[in-house]
Amino acid sequence: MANTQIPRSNSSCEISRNESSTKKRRMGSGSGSGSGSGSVESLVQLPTALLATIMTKLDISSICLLAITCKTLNSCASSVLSFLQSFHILDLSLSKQLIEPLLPPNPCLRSLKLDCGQLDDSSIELLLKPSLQELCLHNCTYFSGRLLSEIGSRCKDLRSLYLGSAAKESVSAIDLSDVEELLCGCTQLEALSLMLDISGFLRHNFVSTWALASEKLTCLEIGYIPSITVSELLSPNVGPLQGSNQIRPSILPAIQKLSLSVDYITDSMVSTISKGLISLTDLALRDAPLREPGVTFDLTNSGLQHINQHGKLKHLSLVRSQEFLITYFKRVNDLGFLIMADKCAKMESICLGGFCRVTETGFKTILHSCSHLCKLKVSHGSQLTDLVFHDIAATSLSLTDVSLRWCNLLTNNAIKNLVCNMALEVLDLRDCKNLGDEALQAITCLHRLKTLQLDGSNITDEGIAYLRHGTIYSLISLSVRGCKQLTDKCISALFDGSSKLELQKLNLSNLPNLTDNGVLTLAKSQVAISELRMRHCPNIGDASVVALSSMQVDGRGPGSSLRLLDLYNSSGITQVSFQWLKKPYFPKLRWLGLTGSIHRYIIDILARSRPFLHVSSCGEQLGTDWWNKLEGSYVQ
Amino acid sequence: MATTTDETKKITLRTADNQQFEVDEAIAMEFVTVKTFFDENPDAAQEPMPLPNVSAKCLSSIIEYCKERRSAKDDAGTFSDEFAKAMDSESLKEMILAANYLNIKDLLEMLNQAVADRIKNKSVEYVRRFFGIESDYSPEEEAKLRAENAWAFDGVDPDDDDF
Repeated sequence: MANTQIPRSNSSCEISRNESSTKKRRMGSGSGSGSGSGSVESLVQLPTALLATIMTKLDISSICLLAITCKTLNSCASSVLSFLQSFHILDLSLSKQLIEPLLPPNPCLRSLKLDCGQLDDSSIELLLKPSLQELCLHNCTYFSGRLLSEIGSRCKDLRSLYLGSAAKESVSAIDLSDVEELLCGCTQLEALSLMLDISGFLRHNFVSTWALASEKLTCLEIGYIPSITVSELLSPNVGPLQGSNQIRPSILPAIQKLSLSVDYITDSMVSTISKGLISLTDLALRDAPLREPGVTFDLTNSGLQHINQHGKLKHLSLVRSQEFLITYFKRVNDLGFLIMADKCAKMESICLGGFCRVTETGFKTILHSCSHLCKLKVSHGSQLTDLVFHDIAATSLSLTDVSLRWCNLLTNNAIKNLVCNMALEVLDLRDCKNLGDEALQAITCLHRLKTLQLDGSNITDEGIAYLRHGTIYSLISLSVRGCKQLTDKCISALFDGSSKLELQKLNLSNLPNLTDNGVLTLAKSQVAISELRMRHCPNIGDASVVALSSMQVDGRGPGSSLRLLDLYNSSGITQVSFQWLKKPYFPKLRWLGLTGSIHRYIIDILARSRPFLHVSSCGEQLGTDWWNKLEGSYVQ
Repeated sequence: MATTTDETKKITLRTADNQQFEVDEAIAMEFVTVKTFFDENPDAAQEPMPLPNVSAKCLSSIIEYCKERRSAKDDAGTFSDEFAKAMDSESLKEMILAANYLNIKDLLEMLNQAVADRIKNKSVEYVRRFFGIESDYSPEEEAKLRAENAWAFDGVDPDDDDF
């Protein structure tokens, strides 16, 4: 931003010396700049270019608030909105009427990210600016397929596109021609995430459509696609040969990152992908079978043989989710993993879900073969035992992200060995029933740990107390959901109110012994929690809501820092709480979870008095983290 | 006066309140205004350069900032944060005007960000007090603006008094 050189002439602004501002001046600065010689009186004497620079660093809602303060700042805000480079509003869905004044013609707009829950086709012209390079539209439920074709014709410069839940109303709302126009129009597209179900399209036509995709496409993510379609899409030379020298150009030649949700992960799909995509560095496949897959429609050891054919793979994720059926990769055992490990020396992250027949031999081989490994995620590792980590200290591994979910054979010993990876930032040990206090004793030496999830483990208040001496200072997110032995004491064990903690997210769901006293301790501790989940806590009641509403942080005025509060099925909450859910309490609350059947009254009135609060009443998960969660169903 | 007796050449600057500062030439040249002045008037090095828009307090803070930043190159981020945090709103305002006048790009960028951080997500009243402005809208106009932007008020931080 250019500065005007010598601001002797002040910008045209009405400055009225505000007497109260002199009274509020802190004594530390003394008499400051002194009198006379045209020196500083008010910040609004700054040239508008400078004010505009400051404004461009603000988020949209702050810019709107500034516009209300005075006429000068209002015109400054208007001008800023016409050259702002990024426009992001993701935690609220605004209607067209509200958004329209905020999106004037703007030749500089490069990045637009919105929650489009209240928008439809009539907003297409407003949103799709030709200068856009990055477009991310969540919740496009009410748009039709025209959204895609219009993106193709209007946003020719687009490099990155994310469309969430597009036209969910009816699959037929998106036509293949819409996808074609999108792909033809956006010739510079590098990253594409189409979170929609494409199984409605005729397979053959779909395959030829993708031939139109930009050659620069390096990242592709599709919400749901049948594996047969994937195999056909990437199979070389399907169709009549044109001549001996004619090779059909490969589809999607430059893809480096591929993320697909399919019906069944099969050998043929995995091998087609691995052979066809020569630049592949990231592969994430997730399936959710509706029935037990037969042998031709499943992943077996031979499928794993084909992984990483071109040797460039760094990130691999193969997950069988149990969304519809309890099922696993039953045809993969240690042999498959041994073969795979051979090819995975360069891997940096591996995510394996549903490999119930693989024992510690298989997992250990992977761990020891990948010397660059940073992230390891295993879910449903029913045969994964402590032996996997037995001599992990002897490797040169420096894991940062470890997730071992539903690995019931894991005990505290594994954790004791695991924590030699001092660089760990994320440790997810959900539903490992045999973990207890000793694990926590080991975990607390991890001084960089940001996320710790211990759902469903056997820990007690004593164990939690260990965290206070180490890890709690770095933690940002802590979950002890379902650790049924915990009582109110764990809250006082963790938070003694003395030091400033980084903690923002806390999950205390499914704790039968948590009472209002515990929540009161939490509120008094002055930790700036922004997300608090207390689902299914039968002994939490209205007193907790009162306590939370008056939570003071950093000695500032009351008004809690909470942005998300989930009280689903916490039966002690009654209509009395309603008084404290209204404004001015919880000023920053964006997400609230209540029980629809019981709290109907509260929910209805809140919907009217706090229209921008997302209130969930049926137990669905809250918050924006749940968008594109590929991890499979999060039960409860 | 530019002296040649020391190893480092020094430039003398005179502030609005008539204080003189001797500054290493290297640092003084970071002030683009000063640099331009000397580029255009090479003989002016004899006299102290007047800076009518900058107070002594400001200039000494600015010089301190530039010196620290040069020596603490790798930790520049944390130093800048501390530097900005320590200033109250009045000083911040003065510094921005001074940095703007002297045209010191990095300092100005840092100060702008500091102001932005302070007014981010704050109430309308807070911002008015911070900038020292009064509303020039009629009550009806203001009410209309507030209604139109009701959504923006939803996540505003509670006001505090630390300025």
